[in-house]
Amino acid sequence: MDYSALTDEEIIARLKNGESWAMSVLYDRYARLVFSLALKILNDRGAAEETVQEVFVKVWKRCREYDARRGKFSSWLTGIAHNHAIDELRRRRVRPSASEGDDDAMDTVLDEGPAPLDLAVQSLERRRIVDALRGIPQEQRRAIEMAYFEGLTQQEISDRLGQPLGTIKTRMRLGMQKLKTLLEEPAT
Amino acid sequence: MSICDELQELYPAYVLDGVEDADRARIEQHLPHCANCTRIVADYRPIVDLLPFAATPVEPPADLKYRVLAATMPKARPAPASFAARVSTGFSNFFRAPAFSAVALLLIVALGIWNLSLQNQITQQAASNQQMLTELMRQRDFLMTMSYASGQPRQLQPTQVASRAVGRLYGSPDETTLALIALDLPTLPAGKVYQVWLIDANGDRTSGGTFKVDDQGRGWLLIRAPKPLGSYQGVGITEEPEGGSPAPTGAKMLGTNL
Repeated sequence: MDYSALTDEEIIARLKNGESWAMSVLYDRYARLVFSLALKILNDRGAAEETVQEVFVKVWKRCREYDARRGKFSSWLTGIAHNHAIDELRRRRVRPSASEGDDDAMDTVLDEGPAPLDLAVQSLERRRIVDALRGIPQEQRRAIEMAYFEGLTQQEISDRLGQPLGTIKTRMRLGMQKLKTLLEEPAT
Repeated sequence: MSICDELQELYPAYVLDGVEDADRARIEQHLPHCANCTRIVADYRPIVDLLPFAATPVEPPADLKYRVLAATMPKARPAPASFAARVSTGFSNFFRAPAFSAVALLLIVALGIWNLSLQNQITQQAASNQQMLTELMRQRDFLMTMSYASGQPRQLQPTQVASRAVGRLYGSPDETTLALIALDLPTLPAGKVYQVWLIDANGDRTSGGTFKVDDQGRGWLLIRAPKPLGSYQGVGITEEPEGGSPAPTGAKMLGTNL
């Protein structure tokens, strides 16, 4: 059987059915994404590896909770990964890579390496979000990144940047609205 | 300012998982009752779905897959050990009861003897269960190694003594855990086993373990090698007395140079 031709939802159905090979296929498809996200958040390879393991174990145990009608599998998976990594970050208080005082916190995000052909879809998604992030003002981007990748609240971002809370709220709202508009534009 | 206006400033942080718990509670209380706010939050979701892809792609280590798959294999259930505990707890409670008489004492002595006998049986059963569990775990490790081996299996070539025999050796990514499958080996006489040898550059043989075959000559063995397979020069299988030998003494059945 050509497993690569199966959709995520078809693979999850097999996983729910107890077919253990399905986990191997899901891992091949998404381990890189989960590891990259965890590494970006935790800035620690060992902790990122533990996160990958914990996340896939959660997927295996909770696959029956996944409902394709409520969203894509990749969104469900990265949601679990993000929650786990942020919880770990808050617990460990590890300083993330996009640190305060860094004038362009998105440098590491925008520093793209070559993408393998078998990850073409993920590369396409990456291209979309990176281009959109490039399209918004740096201070808005920074506020969004500090919330998502560093798990900071608006008040914590305000404290770190020494900016009024209202300013941070406005930056995040404007940044998210602009991102939404940019992502809705057809690809050129 | 309405509650909607106030919360709309928080929605970006909410979808990014960056609000205080108190604000999260307020938002989640409000959303089910406000279609407009629900739509605003839903509009932000696709952005959050894409943000993970903004992280610089980094390959995880190759052995991580093996660890993940090992952690997600169905596990054998440990033998229940609660019966003895329940019996002991029952006795303990009974001893504390106020209605404790000579008749009860006799009954308790008799029950105590029976209990000791039962506990002895349970201990034996637990030991047997533990052996089964160990064997199940060994079989699971074997299947894991074979299923997720990196690269092609090594083929073991038959000798004239076992000309129809076939041997395949599968390695874990670090090649220190090996899964051997042998087919069409000669059936073994009583008191004999097959023994696997890992041969290093000096010609020294290290035992990889022993195994028996069924009446069709089929056998398998999970080998924990002291060093990665690639650091050895060859692998061989000989017939040896039960329990294995410190060095090969019997006829070679299968082997290969690495």
